[in-house]
Amino acid sequence: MITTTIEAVLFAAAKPIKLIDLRKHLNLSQEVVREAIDDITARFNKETSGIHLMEHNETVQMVTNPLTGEDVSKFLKKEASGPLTRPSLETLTIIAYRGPITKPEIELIRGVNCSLILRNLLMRGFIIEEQDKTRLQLVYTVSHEFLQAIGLHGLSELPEYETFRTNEKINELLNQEPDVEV
Amino acid sequence: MGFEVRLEKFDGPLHVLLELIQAQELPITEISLAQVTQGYLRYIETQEVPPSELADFLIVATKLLLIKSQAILPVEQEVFEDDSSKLALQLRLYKEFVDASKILEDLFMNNHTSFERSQADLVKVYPGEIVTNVTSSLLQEAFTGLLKRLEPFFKLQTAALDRVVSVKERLQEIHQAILARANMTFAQIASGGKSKVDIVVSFLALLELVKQRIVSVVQGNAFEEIEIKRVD
Repeated sequence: MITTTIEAVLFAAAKPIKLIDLRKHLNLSQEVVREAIDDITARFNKETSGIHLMEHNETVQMVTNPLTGEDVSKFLKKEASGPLTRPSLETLTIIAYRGPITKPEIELIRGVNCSLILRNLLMRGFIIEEQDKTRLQLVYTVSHEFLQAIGLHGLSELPEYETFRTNEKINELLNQEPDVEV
Repeated sequence: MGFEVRLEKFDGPLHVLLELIQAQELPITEISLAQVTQGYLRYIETQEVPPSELADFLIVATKLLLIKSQAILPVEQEVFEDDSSKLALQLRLYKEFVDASKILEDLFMNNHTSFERSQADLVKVYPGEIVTNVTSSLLQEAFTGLLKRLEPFFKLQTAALDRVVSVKERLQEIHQAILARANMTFAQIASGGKSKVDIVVSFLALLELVKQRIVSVVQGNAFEEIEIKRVD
């Protein structure tokens, strides 16, 4: 029954819902919510289902099956977004694989100032900027909109996602150069 | 804004370095970095690097020069080893992300896209007052009343149509008559009329015939007989 309720809430809300909000409002434990979300994901994220569940950044959202993208966008008269510039793509890739990530960290990897690109990506709604409570810095993550645009259910579907995330060399690079001002 | 757009498309220093190394099909090592130093310096000189990014370009340039000098003076290598290998490492990692960004680009450009359920942009509908004292007979009464009020409007329309048709018909009648008799009076024409409207219509038809120069009319005094003659 809990699964049914959560499914109904997700459909009605349309927008991304934080898992923690589901817990609070429905008075549930983390495990129960997790189980319910896993159940919904297993039932919906199939080729035969028109509606899929996207999970990203501790939030879930019901979206259309990415495979139907072409026809749905025709029906909704949505124009595909224009191509991204290479620097934008690079920055998005870094944020997608390593987010939440700070601006100095992005700049360390790219070796160049990224303020302008980050601002443009924020304006296009592809990334979101949040205050990291422990690091006391602004951190960037890709948005639900961007995941929709690339038609993934979550970042873990990116090729070699775990390898990139846990790459020792990258961690080393990001940790060992506090003296670089960019 | 034009300037900023150009700025965003500008390749960063690492990208320039990567392209130089890949153009020569070299692996990313300190040795290859030393080899492309010249090309990198030429790039800074010849390309208009945006001022805001110049510092980043120069940092890489100094690192390259350091690496190059180490290659020439191997004695001091130990002191700077750390820094030079760092640039190579940074570049190698950067390349990983550049490669991954191609996958992302494919994902972005293909048709596989999801859509969220959009909130309909409906105008808010107010529920309105709920009326309780209405019966079907009241509705019927109201509708009958409405029809009654519309009646004059329909009558007016028919009358207007009648008149138009009548003028045209009367005109033809008078025309036929005058062709046959050459002379006649208005009294003769109007005598067949049943109503005031009929007489008015006859008169309008007569005026039209005068205008078309089919007949000419003479009247001695006001209210006297109107003599109608055919114009030949």
